[in-house]
Amino acid sequence: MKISNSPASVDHSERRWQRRPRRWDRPFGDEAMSADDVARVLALPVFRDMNPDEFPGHMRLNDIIANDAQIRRSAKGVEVVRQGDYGNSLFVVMIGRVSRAAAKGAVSPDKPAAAILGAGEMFGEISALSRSPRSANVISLTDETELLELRWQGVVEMRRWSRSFRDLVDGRYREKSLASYFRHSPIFSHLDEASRREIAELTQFETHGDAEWFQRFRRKSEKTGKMQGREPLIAEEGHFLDGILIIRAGFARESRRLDQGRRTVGFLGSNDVFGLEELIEYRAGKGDGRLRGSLSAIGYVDILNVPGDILMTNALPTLPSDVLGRVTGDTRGYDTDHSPFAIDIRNQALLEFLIDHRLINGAAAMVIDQNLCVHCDDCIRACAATHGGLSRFARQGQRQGPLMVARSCMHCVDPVCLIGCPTGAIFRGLETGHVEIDAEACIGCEICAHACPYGNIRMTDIRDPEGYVVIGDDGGPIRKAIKCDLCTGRTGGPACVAACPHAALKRVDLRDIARSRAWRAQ
Amino acid sequence: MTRRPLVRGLEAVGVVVAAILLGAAIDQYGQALRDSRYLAGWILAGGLVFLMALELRGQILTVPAGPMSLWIRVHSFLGWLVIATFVFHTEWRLPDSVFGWLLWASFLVLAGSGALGFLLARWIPPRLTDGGEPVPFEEIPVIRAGLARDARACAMGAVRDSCSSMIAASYVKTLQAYFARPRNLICHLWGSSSRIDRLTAELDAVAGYVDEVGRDRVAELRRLVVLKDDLDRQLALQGLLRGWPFVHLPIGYGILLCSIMHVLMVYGYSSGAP
Repeated sequence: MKISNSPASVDHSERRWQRRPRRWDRPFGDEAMSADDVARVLALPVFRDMNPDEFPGHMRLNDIIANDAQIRRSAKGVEVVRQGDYGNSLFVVMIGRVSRAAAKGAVSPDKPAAAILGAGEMFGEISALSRSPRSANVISLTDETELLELRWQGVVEMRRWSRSFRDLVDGRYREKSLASYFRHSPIFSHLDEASRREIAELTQFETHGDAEWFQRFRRKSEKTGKMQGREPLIAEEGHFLDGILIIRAGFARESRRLDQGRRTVGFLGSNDVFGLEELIEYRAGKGDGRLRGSLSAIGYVDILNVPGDILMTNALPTLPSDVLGRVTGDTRGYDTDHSPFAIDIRNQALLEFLIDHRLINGAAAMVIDQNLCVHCDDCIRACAATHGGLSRFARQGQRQGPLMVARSCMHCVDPVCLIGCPTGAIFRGLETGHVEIDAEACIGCEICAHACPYGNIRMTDIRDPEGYVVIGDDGGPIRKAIKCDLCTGRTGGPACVAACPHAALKRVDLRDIARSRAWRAQ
Repeated sequence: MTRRPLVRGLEAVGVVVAAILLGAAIDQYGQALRDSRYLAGWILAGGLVFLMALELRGQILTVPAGPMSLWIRVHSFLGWLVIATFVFHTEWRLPDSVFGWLLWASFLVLAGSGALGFLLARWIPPRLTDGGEPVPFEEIPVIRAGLARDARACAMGAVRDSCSSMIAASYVKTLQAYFARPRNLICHLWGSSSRIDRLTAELDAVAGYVDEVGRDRVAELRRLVVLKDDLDRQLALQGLLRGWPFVHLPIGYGILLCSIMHVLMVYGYSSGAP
């Protein structure tokens, strides 16, 4: 099978037929689990209380376990999960024990570890549900450790149909993710466990915006200009703060009044904090306790609301002095003077542009400086030459001044394209973090292409080695999703960057707006 | 000062310094009664071969051989040095044979087109975004055809709507030919807007003789004329950016071949001097 755009005339008398790929053509393991293994899994405490009748006929519980799970066997000392790697599965210990520790190098079979998990216990669900890096190293402590590994596609289906599983996983997620965050956050890491627990008990989870924002985003942004007015307000400038807001997932915009409108002063992403500066000043008697800016949800944002009074008594008295710079980010606007005369309107326009178009999601966006681009298309040719004759991007896109963000996968911080994939064909590389597509596993359902809010994934016909379009058993062409893969595995990095004769094209982490500006000035 | 002009300045100084050192070395070689043109000639030949390596690099983009931008900068640096070497080789004299003139003129065209490309790559890209989003070069004919269709429909519609023949007459006399193919390309290269100003002034004059419906039509035609003008500007600028290598590359290959003949003839008809 070849993903190719080579021109070929299709002889309708000699069509190549192939059964249309289906979700479980490639099970998670080397092969689908046997009935005996499925029965063993269903006997585990995590799954014992699940009611198989809650699952529909096309998504039987046994089938989910057989195809979306695998049993992994590890010897003593083998690393099961590495801290920092991107996770897309949860684990349940079936036989043996594992140890879990957050610090690198702190775990080995002979050293005491932070937590030891035995048979029936679950780990890894936070990464599986949030598509975030693993927060700890997990190592096998026994010689014949058996682990059930359930990929997140299976987790999603089980959550969807089984109330007991949903309650279990959601409860653990909330409890553990909060505890994990407090352990690692510079605001709370200096406290003892009891103080952290006390704060955690009073902390509220909040969700703002629309979890399905990406489905409507493309249509809305094409129709109208400013997005700011349609972003749900979380906290308003001038109001008294009652605590701090910590972003757990998604993005939020901070803005301040300027003349008749609102000026964006920055954005907050995962682990950024809003209101801490004002709270510290208020405690020191230097501020009036009012918020200096407003916070609104960009698309969708999960927040922790930590009450101010518990912070002022427990955390702030012993807070290290350098914490403020580490948690409030370095993207909080370009100027401290907010008079209209002090605003650099061109840089302000760039910031508004990046946030309005949700481009701050891009960890490796393709940015082209139009003042340098000679439109030679060598970047397109290099991409096509590296990918079987089919370029993975278009040299067109949103523009702000001379900067253009091309229609190429940005390998987002929060890749919503992963959410609906039924086979795991689109995945985030464990070590690189790049979002890639496994063409063999892709069934052409187009969920990722529709989900991408930036239109950076497209579907292409499959051709056999002789150039004929491969037709499915339903009569339609078989299509696969393709997108930029940052030339993962290629020596020298992305071919497009290497091919540009005037260094006009770069892959940029758009969250680092300052770096974007410095690059333009070079 | 931003980094880019500083780097370019240093590169320019580097070229001058390298050229001076090269000239000094060639002159030193000639001190011992040796003919320095031989040394300069071989340096020139070697330089031309290295310059052609860029073309090879451009054909095999999949090979990780360093960024193309670095190759271009080395090519530019070497190019200026090769021009200096040519001057040392010819010793500021004009050729005295037909083949010599051919080689000399070819080199001038090669060096000139290279220098022109060097300047165009810096001068044109910012101008492409002056009027808004640059149009993909391959789509220009399609967009132009669409504008021509819209203009014709607008002009014919004016006859129906307002029974006015002024607009249709203006279209037939001037605009039909204007929309049919690219226009005013040289003006766009010079940055002159005199032709388009004249055209829009004509339309503004026509607007004075029609009713309100007719004026809406004229405004629409004016908008299409401006869009077509921007399209022509894109075609002129992008065409020049894409076109100059079609002079530079064939001449380069030709010079390499002629150089081989030149070397054979020089050594064949020389008296054996080193």
